[in-house]
Parts: sequence; C-alpha cells; structure tokens
Amino acid sequence: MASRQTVRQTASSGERHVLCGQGEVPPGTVKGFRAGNRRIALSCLDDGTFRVVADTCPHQAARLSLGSIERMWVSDAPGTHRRAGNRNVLLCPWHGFEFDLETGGDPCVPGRPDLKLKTYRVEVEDGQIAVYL
Amino acid sequence: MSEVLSGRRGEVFEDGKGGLSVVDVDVHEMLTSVKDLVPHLEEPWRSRIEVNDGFKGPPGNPYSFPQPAGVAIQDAVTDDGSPAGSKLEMLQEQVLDRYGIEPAVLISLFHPTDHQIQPEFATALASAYNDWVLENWLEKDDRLRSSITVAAQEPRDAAREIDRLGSDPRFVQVILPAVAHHVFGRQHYWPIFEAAQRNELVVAFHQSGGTRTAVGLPPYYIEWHTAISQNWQSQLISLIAGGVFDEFEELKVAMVESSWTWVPHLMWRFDYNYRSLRREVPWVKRLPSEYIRERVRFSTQPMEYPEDPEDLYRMFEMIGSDEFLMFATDYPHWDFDSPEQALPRSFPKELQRKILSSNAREFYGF
Repeated sequence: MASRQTVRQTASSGERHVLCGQGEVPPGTVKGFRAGNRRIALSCLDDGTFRVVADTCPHQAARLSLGSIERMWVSDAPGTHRRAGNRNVLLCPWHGFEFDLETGGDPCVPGRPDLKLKTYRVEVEDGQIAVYL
Repeated sequence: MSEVLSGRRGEVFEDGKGGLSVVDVDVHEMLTSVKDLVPHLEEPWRSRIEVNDGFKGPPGNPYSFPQPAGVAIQDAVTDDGSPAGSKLEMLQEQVLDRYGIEPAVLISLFHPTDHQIQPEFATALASAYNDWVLENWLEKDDRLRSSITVAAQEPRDAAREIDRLGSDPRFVQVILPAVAHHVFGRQHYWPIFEAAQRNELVVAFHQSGGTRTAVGLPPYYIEWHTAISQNWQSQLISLIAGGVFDEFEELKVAMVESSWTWVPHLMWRFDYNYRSLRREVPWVKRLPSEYIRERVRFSTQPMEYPEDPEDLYRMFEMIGSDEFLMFATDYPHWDFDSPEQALPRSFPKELQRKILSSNAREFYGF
C-alpha cells in the first residue's frame, strides 16, 4: 500500500499534519503515511481511538504499516494466555516483532532504546485525523 | 602435537596451587553390578535383581568404545575386573588427593529414568541407589557430595525421594538424564523442580545410556559423542520455553558434560526468536539469555580446543558472565580433564580460579 502525503500546518505543540478523514482507517487496521520527511503508521484500535508510531521497523526497516494490530498477549501462569486489557501491539510484517502502540517499545526488551519506535500525538479534529510531529 | 592439544599447565598451579582448593562437579561412582542394590531393596523389587537371570539394569550406552581402556582412562582400570569408578580408594588417590579436590560432586550414571517401563520398579531402584551411594561413598569420605537419583517418569514419587534426602547437605542436586525422548520443561515434570526448589537443590543434567542425537544413533561412537550436546540444548530450551524458571524463581540448573561453546549461539538464536514468537509463550517474561546467565551453570569438561586458545576465551566472553563455568574432571572416563591442564593460558589467572573453585562454591553453596 502506498503511503499517502498529508496536509501540513504549524502549531505550537508541533508540526500539524492532517493525515485523512476519520472514517478512512477502520478499527483494527493500520495505514502508512508520509508526513513531511517521515514515514508514520496510523493505527485505529478496536475502540476507535488512534495511535501513531514511526513506520520503519528498527530491525530490518520493514514497513510496519503493512503489519497488523492485535491485543498484547500476556500470561498469569505457564500454559495460559490472556489479553492485556487495552494494550495493543503492532506486529512487523516480516519477523513478527511486537511494538507497544502506547510506548513504541518492544515488550520483549522494553528497556532497549534502539529497538523502540518513536510515538506521535494524534488527534481527531473536525472529522479529520491530525498528527503532531 | 600442537601446544594447545598437548595442554599447558595453567598459571594458577604454577606456584604450587596458590592455596586453591579445586571443586570437581562431575565425578562418577559406579556400581559393581546392579546386584549391589539388593541390600537396599524391599520386596517385591529385591528378587527382580537378586536372581541370577534377573534385571541387569537400565539400558546403557550401546556403542563399543574404541579407546584402549574402553570408556575409562587407563589409570582407572581396576585389577579385579570391576568397572572403572567402582572403587573409592582409586577415586581418592587419582582425583581427590592428587589434585587437592574438595569437594567432588558424584553424578550417577545409573538412571532409572531410562527404564521407561515398570515405573514403580524404577522408583524403587532410584531410592535403593541413593541409599547405596550414602552407605558406600558419602559415609566414607567427607570430601564427597552427591546427586539424588530419581525415576523422572513418576514425578510425584521422584519428588518424595527428593524430600526424603533433601535435608542431608551431602546431597547437593537432583540428577536428570539429558535424553532425547522427553523434554523436562513439560508441566508433567514440575513436581521434580518444585521439590528441588523446596529443598534448595540444584537440578543437573548429564548424558545417560538413553541419550541419542537428533538423528538417533549414528553409526560411529565419534558421531554420537560429537553430536550429543543437542540433548542439553533441547532440555535447556524446554525449561525456558515451558516457564520452569518463571514458575520456580529460585531454581538453579547445572548442565554437566554438555560442553559450553554452543551457549552463545543458543542465546543469540533464542533471544532473536523470542522477539518474533513471544506471543506463543507469553509466560516467559524475560529474554532467554537472561535466565541462562542468572540461573544456569555449565561444566568445563569436555572442553573444546580451537587452534588459537584466544578464540576459546572469546567464546567465553561472549556469554557475558564469568560465573557460568565450573570445573569438572569427568573421572573415570576417557575424556577426563586435569585441573592443571584443562584451562588454556588465554583465560586470565583470576578467572581460572573462579572456574576451578569459587564459581561452583557459590552456585552450590559449599
């Protein structure tokens, strides 16, 4: 899927880029955009809220927007799986590396800054999705 | 023969051992025959081995040994035809006294776990063997420590055996065979780990007569001997992926005679796969390499000897811990390592002291 160019405005809290209309990225999907000179991935969670992270996997530079969103799996005891509340991860389409959509961190190595995605503020404003870089 | 292959006296020993008391984590005590267990068995089990044509023991290594003294070093061959390793006085002379080793950890090669049938009989054999070790080895030399033999196919009975002996400080670990037919990370086996942790005992893995390679039994013994590290690797992977270290947070594991230069490879591959596949085993909370560095120790023997001894030290450094390695002779077997010769000079002097002594003392609490 080709990345889409965005509309740019300058605001005090960062450079504002309008990505698309609110309905263009349905819940459970992710779409890639170019905002200025950056590639970003816009994810819409099951509850209709949005998250934006860098679109380049720090592992082998795959486009994360070609990956998928799922609730983060955790466990209370060996042999059991449980969804981690509302925590969601973006899965890289190449090797399945996970990135926490709240922090950008890899749940396997949350302390590794070199394996963490940059996150961006995203707002729904007048039916449009705007990201602040 | 190259200088490396012929061995070099380690610096630690050049000045008269420097007061170093070596710990040996792999010495084998051997039965003369399985009939040695008769006094330690009750009926209905006693008569199964007491009669002349009765049970001869769990299956042993099926290979013939091409070395001049079979599976043993020549020094350890007995003059009455009994198996090498069956005489305490020879162990004392050739290992404990000669090298000032104290303590030495006995590791049984008698594995009722390999007797995969008649589980109650296997459990009785394990218990009898432990009593035999107590009476004939531990009671006769206080430089010895030992391992609790179990029949792992009956984990709750194995746990009862561990509880029976676990308060005796001469037993420092539970020994399990590094076999190919089961992985011990499965919850079926957890009573064993639970009991080991409850009794503050290490769980150790060592090859047995049931050890195979990933392709079974290849034609030649040299193939089997070169390839069997696969078993420890599979068991270690299973313990981590099965959540054993997460469930039993105080559990410590020793990989004995597994060799160790494969550890960097396994850590790298396992950590990399964890980032892709964590979702399959979310109960594993940390990178696999972290469990290995903190909770697992390896024995030196059998050492690998690259052409450049610096390469061996580089492999050691790649593991990222100077505590993970413990010296072992593997007496009385043909691939025995001398504490004076096993470590190349590429290993710094202080590190040699840790490997020869303090790493094991801290791990086992000697």
